[in-house]
Amino acid sequence: MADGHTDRARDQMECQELFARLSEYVDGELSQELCECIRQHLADCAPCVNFAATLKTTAELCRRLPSRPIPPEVAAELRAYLSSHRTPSERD
Amino acid sequence: MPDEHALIAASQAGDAGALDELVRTYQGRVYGFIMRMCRNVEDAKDMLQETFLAMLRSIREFRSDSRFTTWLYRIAANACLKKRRRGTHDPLPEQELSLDVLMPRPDAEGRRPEIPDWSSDAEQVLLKGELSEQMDAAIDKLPREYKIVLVLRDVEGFSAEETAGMLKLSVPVVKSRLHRARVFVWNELTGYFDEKSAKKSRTHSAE
Repeated sequence: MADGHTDRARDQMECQELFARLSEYVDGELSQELCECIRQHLADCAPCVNFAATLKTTAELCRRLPSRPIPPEVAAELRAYLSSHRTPSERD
Repeated sequence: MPDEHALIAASQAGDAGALDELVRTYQGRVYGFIMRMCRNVEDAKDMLQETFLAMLRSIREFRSDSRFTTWLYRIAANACLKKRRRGTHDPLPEQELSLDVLMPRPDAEGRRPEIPDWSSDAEQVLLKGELSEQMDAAIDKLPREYKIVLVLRDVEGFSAEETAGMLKLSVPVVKSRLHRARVFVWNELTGYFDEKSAKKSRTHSAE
């Protein structure tokens, strides 16, 4: 991080700073140094441990949301629509 | 699934059967994405048709150095962002989500906020199907610019780079919107689990 955040984080990462970076942390997108700062903070802060766990779960739950199947009539209408918009040569 | 590369190449060469097959292959997934964005079957139908007509007309412009799904979703995402919702007014399409408002904060005495860990309860509730409704309702409350980032990243599984490319945003903007959107949904879910556990303890104390 070139924004000076690391220096401050190295001294002492506060809950609010951790909150701001938590998605990047759970997505594995932070530098090792910043991850270490976060781990140090988490070792001593139960609310942040819970926040990290539940934010990660939030992202995982999104991934597991059931997708809505396309109704057969919507698929049929799509086919008819595309067919009516094709030029004669495209319909072959 | 048939060989996607062959199908695309045949479609680009003007093979109508291959184009139909390409539409059939992706129509379900794209419909699911569009429905999650607009939650209205009639709107979804329009956007689906617009998306696949644009695909049909520009398939020759697709270059195989990018993923076909990413290219197709870019068209679908544009259709979603362009379209106004039918019959409902789009709540807060441009509203900024502020982390200062969404984040848990220390109390007046500076004590750390209470944050319950509901992650293990989530599995149980998910199995009952109840949680999906809560999630959908929470995602639906997001301003559109945040919602589309969360749906592309967390629901559809695209990377930050792919999402940025689709929406013509920078990667830091995608990450920032994703974080705000996740914290928003997290807030809603935390409220839901709080309410659930309060109900449970009321039932227990009444027994």
